[in-house]
Amino acid sequence: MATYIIRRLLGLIPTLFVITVIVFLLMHAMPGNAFEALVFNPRLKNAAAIYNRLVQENGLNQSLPVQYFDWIKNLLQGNLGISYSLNMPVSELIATYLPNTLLLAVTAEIIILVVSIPIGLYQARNVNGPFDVLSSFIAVLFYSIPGFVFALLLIYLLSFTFNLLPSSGTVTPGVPWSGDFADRVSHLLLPALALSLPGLAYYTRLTRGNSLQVIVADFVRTARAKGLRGPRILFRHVLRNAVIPIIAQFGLDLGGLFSGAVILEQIFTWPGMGELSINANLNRDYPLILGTTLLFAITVLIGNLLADILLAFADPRIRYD
Amino acid sequence: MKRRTAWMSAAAVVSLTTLLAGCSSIGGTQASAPKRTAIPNGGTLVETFPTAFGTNMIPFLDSSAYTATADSYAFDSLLNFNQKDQLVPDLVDKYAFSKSKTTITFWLNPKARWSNGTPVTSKDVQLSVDWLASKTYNVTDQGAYGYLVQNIVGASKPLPDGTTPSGFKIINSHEFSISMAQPDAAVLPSQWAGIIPLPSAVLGKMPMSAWKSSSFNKVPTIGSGPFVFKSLVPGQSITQVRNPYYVFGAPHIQTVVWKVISPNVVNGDLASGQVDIAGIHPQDVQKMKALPNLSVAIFPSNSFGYLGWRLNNAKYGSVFSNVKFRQAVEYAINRPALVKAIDKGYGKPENGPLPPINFWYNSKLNNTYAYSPATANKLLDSIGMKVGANGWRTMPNGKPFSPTLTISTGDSNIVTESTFIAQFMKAVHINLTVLPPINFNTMLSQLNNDSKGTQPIQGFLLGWSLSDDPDPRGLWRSTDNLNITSIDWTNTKDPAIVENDRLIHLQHSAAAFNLAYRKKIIYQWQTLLNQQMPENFLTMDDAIYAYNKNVHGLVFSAYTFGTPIDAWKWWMSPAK
Repeated sequence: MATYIIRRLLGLIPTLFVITVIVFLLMHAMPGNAFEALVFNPRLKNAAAIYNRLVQENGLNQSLPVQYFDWIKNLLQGNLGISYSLNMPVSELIATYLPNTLLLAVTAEIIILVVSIPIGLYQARNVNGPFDVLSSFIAVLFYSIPGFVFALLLIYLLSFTFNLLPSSGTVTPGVPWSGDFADRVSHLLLPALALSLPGLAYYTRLTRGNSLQVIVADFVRTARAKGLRGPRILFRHVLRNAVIPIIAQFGLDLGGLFSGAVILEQIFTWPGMGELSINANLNRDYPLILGTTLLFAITVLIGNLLADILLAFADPRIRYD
Repeated sequence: MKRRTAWMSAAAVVSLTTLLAGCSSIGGTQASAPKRTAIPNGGTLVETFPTAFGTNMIPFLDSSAYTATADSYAFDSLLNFNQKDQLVPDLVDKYAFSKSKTTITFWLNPKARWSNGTPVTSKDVQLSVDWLASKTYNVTDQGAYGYLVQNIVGASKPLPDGTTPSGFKIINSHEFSISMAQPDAAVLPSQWAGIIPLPSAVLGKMPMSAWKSSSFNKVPTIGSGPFVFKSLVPGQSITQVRNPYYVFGAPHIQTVVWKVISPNVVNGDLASGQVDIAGIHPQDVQKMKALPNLSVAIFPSNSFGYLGWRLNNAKYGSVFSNVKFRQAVEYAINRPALVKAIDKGYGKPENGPLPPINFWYNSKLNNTYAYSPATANKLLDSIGMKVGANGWRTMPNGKPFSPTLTISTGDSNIVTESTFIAQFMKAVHINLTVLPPINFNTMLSQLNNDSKGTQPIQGFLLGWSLSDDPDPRGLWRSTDNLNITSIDWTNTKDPAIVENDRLIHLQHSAAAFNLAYRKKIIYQWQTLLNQQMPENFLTMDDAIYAYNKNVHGLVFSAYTFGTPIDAWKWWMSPAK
């Protein structure tokens, strides 16, 4: 297993290289650069000079290969560059925004897994019963409605109408309790709920479907024949086998955790990676685009690797040696 | 045009020009004017930013207009502008020009203090000048505001850090002078008034190259404005508390919170009381007025929208560059109808390069180019653009004429406006096609990289949000060659360009220190541009704010972006 992991990790290097080259080329293929808006400021009496100086100082007048290898050289020294639009080190920006994204995404994933797997299992155990029919209907409904609609609905109900939870940010500014545990949780609830609802529906359906396939398997019938209790069969035998595709899906989702939920982050003013990267692209902020893309690429690749490793643990038939 | 980074994100500009809307009179409006004796102190005022702010808080290092707005609460400049666009005392309470008009002596207000109680001195002003002129600021830190000191003798090029330009002299702790090589009537309002003294007791002790990474840059511990920074959560909020030593007296409100709030939910936050003041769209005015806890302020803005044409376009440039074509388009567009339809009546037709609200606006331009398709048709006929068998006009050489209109994404009002314009063009037999909206930076790129006129952009909708002083340099001179309008009009061989440059020079010449003379010249310049129509002036959209009824004393000004002015006068009703 260790050899496999090392081999996979080494294999990431050429993949990352290709990804950064493609992103670099696409990024420069987009029209415009971060400094062109300068010429639209009537306050600047010498916009042309400032523009030319910034283009030169940031190396945008160099050929693309030179610019790319400069970036690689700085990257190898741990320097991701300075954001053009925010005038701050990219690494500092990522360090600021990434924890917010992770907090939101991990909370949403926990809600999804903790709620959807038991529901999916229970649906499978009572297939076509009233609970299965009703919860399946709700799950399909949730899955069909985009997360941002839930977001607006939740804000309208729980924030604007009943004033129970705040509608934006991660903490309440300007109050003595700003940033304490309860304050953070109250801010986290709405976005986490909005982010988890569609996923919750999907995982419920996935668990139900997989469990239904397993529940009719010979080894489950054998377990029943041996007189094992229902819950033991369900959790020990059915779930163990039904969970394998869920683990594979979870591995794929891991990469997405880091890239944030762009629309939801904007609606809830949740300062996360999604908003950071979308603004970087809109502003043609090359160092920030490359920095965030590199992070996303690494996390997707590592997420896939983790999924493979988890599968090996969940399914003894899988061997990577 | 106003910016979103230190120099301005144009997306903000475009949305600004369509977002702002309004009514009435001159300059600004005052929400209520209570007697100061009865005013209670305390309260927390929540204001909003629509997108994340930059976190470099030292003045001039700010990388977004929102940071600059929050900074403007914490740091005052030498002089300021009131709601009538008049230069008024701030940290400087008086100034005097030398006989030659090349030197201005400034006297700091003896009451001007930092929030820790120490006086604001000439050394603090000197530090700011040194900073704006320094290599670190201009070379490493983007240096967008370096222009503020470039007219000072010895500061035309970046200086080694800590070097004071020879044109800046400290006379005593509260008196200093600044000199320029040539008299320039616009230099005070458009440049030097905006110099913000920096605390030499804090920043003077560290090298300028270390300022950006300093803790002071993250949360400036002292300031000279009505409110000083208390804390900051990157990407979401800034908290400021009142400065007890503020030059005009301690503010009434205890705390100001700036929150980043998605425009999608800001109306709901206003209604639920989570936000106290925010800009709203014209279509939401009636809805917000109907809410019991909110008031709505509508006032003109110092900005306008326009329809530009690529005069050098390889395909249709010969038509676009004909002044009669542009005049015909102006007659063909029903601008009052645009104000009514797009701005719900909150705006005015725009007639020239300054909006009607502007102190320097030439009111003789009112009602020029009244909507007249007949006049438009006559002008188009006169330049040989005949109506073909298909009902569309051709170019004078008989070739088809089917120009396109490029608009940017992010504002549904612009899409609606472009549809109206296409209909107005159709009425005079011009086959104008509106292209799908494109990213704003893509639009800028097409405009700025089109020396051969081969970019897809032909007609386009944009807007300008102007600075307090009407000085057209940077925007309208033929030498302002990176400016889109310059590429379009001032780089043509039109004889009017010479007159344009002459008038722009005269408006800041030595003679222009006489207000009446400068006004006369700026009137002439506006008349010239009204005749030439370098771009088709469309509408001035009013600014609209909704604010909680428990906030009082707000002073709204057309000349300030994103927030009312005179924050020290505001107060809040005690919570019930």
